[in-house]
Amino acid sequence: MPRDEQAAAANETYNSLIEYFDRNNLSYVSPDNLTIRSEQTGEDLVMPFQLAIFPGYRMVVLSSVLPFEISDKIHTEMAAAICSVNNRLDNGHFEFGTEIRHMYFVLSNRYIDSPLSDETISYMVTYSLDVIDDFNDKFARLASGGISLEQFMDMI
Amino acid sequence: MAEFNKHLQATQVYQTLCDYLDHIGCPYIKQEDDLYVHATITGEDLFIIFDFYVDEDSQLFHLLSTLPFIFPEDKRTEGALASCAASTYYIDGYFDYDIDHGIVTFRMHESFMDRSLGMTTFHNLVVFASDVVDLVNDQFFMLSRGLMSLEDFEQQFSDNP
Repeated sequence: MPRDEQAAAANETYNSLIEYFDRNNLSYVSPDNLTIRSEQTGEDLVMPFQLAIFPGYRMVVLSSVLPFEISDKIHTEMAAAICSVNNRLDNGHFEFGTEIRHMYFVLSNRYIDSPLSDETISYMVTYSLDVIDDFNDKFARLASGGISLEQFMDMI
Repeated sequence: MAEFNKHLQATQVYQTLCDYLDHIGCPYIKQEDDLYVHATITGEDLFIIFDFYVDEDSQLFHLLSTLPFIFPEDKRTEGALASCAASTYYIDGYFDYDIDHGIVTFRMHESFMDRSLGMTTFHNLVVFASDVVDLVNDQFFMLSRGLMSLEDFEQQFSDNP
């Protein structure tokens, strides 16, 4: 796809995202016309997230960093916990690399043959926040040593 | 969305997927009642096995490609760490890891709520997944057999993301 068509499709997607946030009275900041950042508070923890448009891939990626650090000594338990949770999800995934001290939730959708519908945008945001809210406190407790991996597994 | 429309939408997505696989000459097995397709695509080093599911209820398309080996019991932990680490290097998809059985599956999902998925979308998803699986298969295999350390595994991704 030529670059001008990529840019036009990205712009259309950006406008759809902004309309969704405005219509639902969700606060946000947009540092450029490819990124929207927002924050919601769940039952336990704050949930910062961003929607980033990648014109070349014709893709929107929602990512959310979980608000705690992962120390080196808990890497193995976190990996096992993340894999077990990802196994249970219909869509999206949690991830972390041993070089990174944080974990993320990531969910993407492409707008190749048709624009992202309002329903899809709503799904991306609400589904992601529901999943993050379900698991972030459990991951935080595991990361802090408050619960063991076995206890984590019993909770999910 | 009305149930009839959800069904219609899912059926259309499933048909487009089959049209795409026909178009590229890919052999596959269909289970139409379950909106499921099992396909094999030839990569550089290996045959890449795909399972495609169209979920009418959630209006999601699922692409799964399971690597053709398992992590033995003494390597299960490395498999979990490697799957998490490898997932961070790709803009789309992730490595799902069944820690009880040592099975690694590359997964991608696409929503078709109130919109259609065309052949170009399927082409992008299949090409992307094939490239990823073709690239990482050897690294995961060597790690699972103790022929590569976890540090070297991660280093390879850092060097050639």
